[in-house]
Amino acid sequence: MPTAQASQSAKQETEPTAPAAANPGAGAFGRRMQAVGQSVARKEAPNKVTGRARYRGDVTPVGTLTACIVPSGHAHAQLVRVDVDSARRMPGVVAILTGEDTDLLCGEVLEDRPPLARGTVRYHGEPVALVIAHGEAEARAAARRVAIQYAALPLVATVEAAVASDAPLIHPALGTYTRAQPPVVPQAHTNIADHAKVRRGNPTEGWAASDVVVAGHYSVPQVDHAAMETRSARVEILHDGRVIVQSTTQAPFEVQKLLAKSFQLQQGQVIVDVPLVGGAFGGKAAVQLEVLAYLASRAVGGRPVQVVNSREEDMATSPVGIGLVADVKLGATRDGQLQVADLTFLLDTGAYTDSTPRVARAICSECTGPYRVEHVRCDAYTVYTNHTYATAFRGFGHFPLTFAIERTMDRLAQALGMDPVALRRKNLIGPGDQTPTRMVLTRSTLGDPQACLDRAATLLGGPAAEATGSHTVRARGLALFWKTSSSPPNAISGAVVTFNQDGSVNLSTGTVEVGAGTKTTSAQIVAEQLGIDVEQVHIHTHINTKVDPEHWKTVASMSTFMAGRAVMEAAEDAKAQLKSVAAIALKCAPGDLSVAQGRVFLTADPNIYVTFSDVAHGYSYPGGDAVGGQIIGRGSYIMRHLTLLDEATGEGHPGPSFTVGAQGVEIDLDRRTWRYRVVRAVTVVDAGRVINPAGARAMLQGGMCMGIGLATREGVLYDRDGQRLNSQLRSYKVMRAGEQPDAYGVEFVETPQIDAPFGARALGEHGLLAMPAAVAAAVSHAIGQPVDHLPITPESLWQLSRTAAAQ
Amino acid sequence: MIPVDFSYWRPDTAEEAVATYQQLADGGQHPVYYAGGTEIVTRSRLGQLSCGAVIDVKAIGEARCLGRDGGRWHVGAALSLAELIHDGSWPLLARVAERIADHTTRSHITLGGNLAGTIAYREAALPFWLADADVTTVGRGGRRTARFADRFDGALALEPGELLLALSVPEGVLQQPSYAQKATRLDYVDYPLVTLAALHGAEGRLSVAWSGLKPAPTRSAELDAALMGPGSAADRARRAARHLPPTLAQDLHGTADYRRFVATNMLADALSALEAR
Amino acid sequence: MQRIKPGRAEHLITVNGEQRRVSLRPADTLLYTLRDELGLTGAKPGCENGDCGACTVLVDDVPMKSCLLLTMELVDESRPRQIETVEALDRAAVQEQFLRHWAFQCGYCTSGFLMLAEGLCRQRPDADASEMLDWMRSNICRCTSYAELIHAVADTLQRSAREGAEPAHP
Repeated sequence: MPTAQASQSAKQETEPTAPAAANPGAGAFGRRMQAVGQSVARKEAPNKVTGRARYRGDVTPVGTLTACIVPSGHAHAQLVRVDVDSARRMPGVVAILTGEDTDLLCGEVLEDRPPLARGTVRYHGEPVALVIAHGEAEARAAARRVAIQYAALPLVATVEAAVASDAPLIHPALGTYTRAQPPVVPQAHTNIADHAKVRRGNPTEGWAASDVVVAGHYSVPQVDHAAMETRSARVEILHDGRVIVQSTTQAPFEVQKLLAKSFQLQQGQVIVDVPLVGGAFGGKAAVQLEVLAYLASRAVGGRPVQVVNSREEDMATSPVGIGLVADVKLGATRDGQLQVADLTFLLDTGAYTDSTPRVARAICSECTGPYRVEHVRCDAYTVYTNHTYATAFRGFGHFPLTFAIERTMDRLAQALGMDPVALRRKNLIGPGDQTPTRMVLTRSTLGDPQACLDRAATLLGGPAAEATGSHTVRARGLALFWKTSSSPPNAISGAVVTFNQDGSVNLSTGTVEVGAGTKTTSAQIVAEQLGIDVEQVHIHTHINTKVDPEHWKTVASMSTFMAGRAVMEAAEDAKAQLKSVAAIALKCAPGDLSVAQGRVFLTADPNIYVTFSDVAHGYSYPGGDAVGGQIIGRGSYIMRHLTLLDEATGEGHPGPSFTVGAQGVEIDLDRRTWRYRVVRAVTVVDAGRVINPAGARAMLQGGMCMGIGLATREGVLYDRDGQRLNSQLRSYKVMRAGEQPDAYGVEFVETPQIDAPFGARALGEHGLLAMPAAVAAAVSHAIGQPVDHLPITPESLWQLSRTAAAQ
Repeated sequence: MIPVDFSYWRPDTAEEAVATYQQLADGGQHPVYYAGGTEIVTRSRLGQLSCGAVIDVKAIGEARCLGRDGGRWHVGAALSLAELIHDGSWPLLARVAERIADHTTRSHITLGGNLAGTIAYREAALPFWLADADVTTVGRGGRRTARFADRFDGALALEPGELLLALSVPEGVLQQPSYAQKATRLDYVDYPLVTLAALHGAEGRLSVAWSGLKPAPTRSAELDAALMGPGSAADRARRAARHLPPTLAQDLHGTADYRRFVATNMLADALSALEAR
Repeated sequence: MQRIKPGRAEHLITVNGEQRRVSLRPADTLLYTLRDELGLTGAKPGCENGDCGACTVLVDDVPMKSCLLLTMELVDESRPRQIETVEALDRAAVQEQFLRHWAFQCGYCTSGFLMLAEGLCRQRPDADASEMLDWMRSNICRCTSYAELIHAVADTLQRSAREGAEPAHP
């Protein structure tokens, strides 16, 4: 047994590094890092390259029943009759549920969505019935026998049609719906589920002061998350009252709360277990299949039932990403100083709201882009259509917002005859300025947009457009983004640190590993704080709501910040406890001690120490008697000083800080065929502090690739009857190998966010935010006409050229 | 996951296949010939096809023939596109085939499946349609070899239970100058917006065939004739394009007008490429 | 002639070098058999439509989409087919390169991409960039930028070429 005496005689090979300060940002300033700032391979990587990484669908106990959704064949219709008799008689069928079996209404913000359509179907693919059978084959075979009679209702096919005064109503009962999570401002007897707004300054003054006014109309279609793993959930209701849920969710604690609330359960009865998740991109934050699986299990005496989306269901029945139509008008002085912004956004939330009102407020919060604008009027409407219902998509509304703003900035530059980079530089928001919701910025909360812009412009280089042949042109485009979390003001996170007998560390957090490497980042932070190797930190790859501390949701790129803060505090707490036990062993005051390299040592003489192993489970004297006990480090974090946006003015504090960045692309375009290719893409982002350089670069590049896909090809399509046309990966096209740029350039600016772990800013969503705007800018330069609608396909450019030729 | 089960049959000879088909059909089993399976498996999963029996034809030796015999090049219908591309004897066929689906899926899709399946594009038919191809089938009346052009008009006219066994073209065709181009909406891996295959025949006659336009394969003697007139490649392409079908497909890949634009460009490209040789 | 009635029955297939007795229906896809009968869950359902490649395995060294194959097609006593899944890879060069290049994030498409790349390295060790890309277009990754995957596969190819891998065979 090691003792202080024995340790003293041990040869000390290396001097431990100085102890970390309690200040979370301290690491950013000067101290040499051991784990933070290193490209540590993700913890679960060896399992992911051997097929041994387990996802939800990889473990299905024998005896699990399968429930299969019967989707609506109509986009808007009355359900005249749902005949399940013949399906019920099919072999293997245990039960069939329809909308008549539950009067529950679901909705994160506004409770407007029946889990199974009742009376009316509002989108093509909406669940009408749920067939529960012993196996998938039986369930699917029987599902085809469910006969549904419809009486067609008039279709609301676009947001513009939806807000027309004579539009058919999709939710006649809108005024009666429960507001689960205000703010939400439904307009009864319309298709407007919510109206969020910003009123800042005096636009009349702004227009008066403007020499130049430009306006643009933009559209971005609904898009699909297309995570490679489709959504699924499995629920078992035990006789002791526990409800065991396994799900692909990004929001296990939200699932827990929602099931408890919907079915009058104690929250502790609901246990949500989430293994590795095969990509999410916001689409798995919406709670849908968990409710269906619960209803199914309840209908069959609590037996385990799973609902596993086919790709077609994942695209057409589960929520897609929000579409957006924007009208943006900017006013500026002759020398290019922005005066006023007037913005109207119609968000296509499809048949139900889900999180769209929150996205609308996120758009409001950053509606001007990262520019200083004194006078702002912004209206963001959450609009019902007979489209697939929509939810958050990576970036939480910011890629369409950025597209609309940045296209208008390019218009303004052209109207002023000014270089687009110079116009942006002149108007960049900075410390001391106010955001549209009147949050006063600091260098810590904002970062350094100018450094990002200047570096990206340098990296991109070259003129806006240059001929490379008789009909070929190379062009460049650049755009800026900014984003804050727009999380609830009371969003929380937690962490627990325990020790193994050998002194290694166990870390428990409430974040889900969706591919972002959040568990590894947390392990790096613990390793750094305790001065141990990352290998010595053991993580839970699953999360389980019963044993892991609550983390709001694994969304909004907030894991490093929120979980990171909790993890730092847990590590500090463990450290303090280690010191107090070690102080007894080493006969000194806790204040005399430091912690590093798995040891607690006298700061004045590192040769006098005990190891974690000596003290983490109580310190034993040579006689066997012991003091101390098991050390359990706990940490928690709650958002500080955030406020909800005011309903009348939008005033409020939407997030702890911003991430700003600049992105650019270079394209080669053929003016004969109107085909083009993105050949180079650059991103310069203020990361605050890069905790895992290779991981951060990979994450950003992945986002850039997705962003190019959104710019060039992605978009949900409906026919004239509102039927989904592309609910397969064969028809909903995403990027494939060879379509990516030849070169990606990713660089980091590091302006620490003082209250973030080691200064690190959010990065997870940001790679894609300005890519569509940058691609549109480059294409506009190449063809000499503004490109304002996504996706930018060769045909869309050919159509533009024809329109121009006709004028 | 295919919800509804079926029986599986793997005959060793063409005659056995036909007899099996007949017997199953008579028994109300709704049999289908099964080769690569890409359409049958996916359509069965979606409930778009319900068959009581699949007859896997990949063990039939004749359907896997490949090589020259009697002045003709023979190719079995159960060969995968990947095998045809790897063989490479007929560059035009290889070029068309290597743009169908994706690399891995081309190891599944067979020539026969592409020609006789339900997906309309049937791009692999274009080279055979342009060449003086023969097609051999086996049915109730036994073996039958006919001119491909007599039995194909965008789709292969097969009788119920008639099995596509093999195709052949005169050996000389393999070396004839040819050209193929595929345009999609945007993505490399996608169904065709327009696919063009062109073959410079023995008497210097140029002929082209299309997929994607209707979208099933089409060709036009008038269009071919217009390609031969005077003028620049672009002029002749424009003239020939007047003989494109009057109505073109309009779907998520593109509008009819855009297809016409792309097809016209393609004609010019084909002429330039072939005449540059 | 092989004739198999509808309904479950036991058959022999060869997976990862082992003969396995599996219970299957003629309509079962290989993906289903591997995952639900053999517990080999490395191959993933991503679309069950042949579009995404997450279920790619090797059949006699050729990458195939296991969602598009009937297991029955591979039940053939006269010509036993060798099925290999990601679980058979043991510290293969391609796995090391995927780790080195951060060629995955969520990891869901990884098994399929690994088997595709392994097939490429076995079949076409001298493949040039354009042939490599043509193979790699068969699968979809929604997380990475593809550059990581391409670098990983390119480096594996160079490495297998250096190590004198077997030349291409049909």
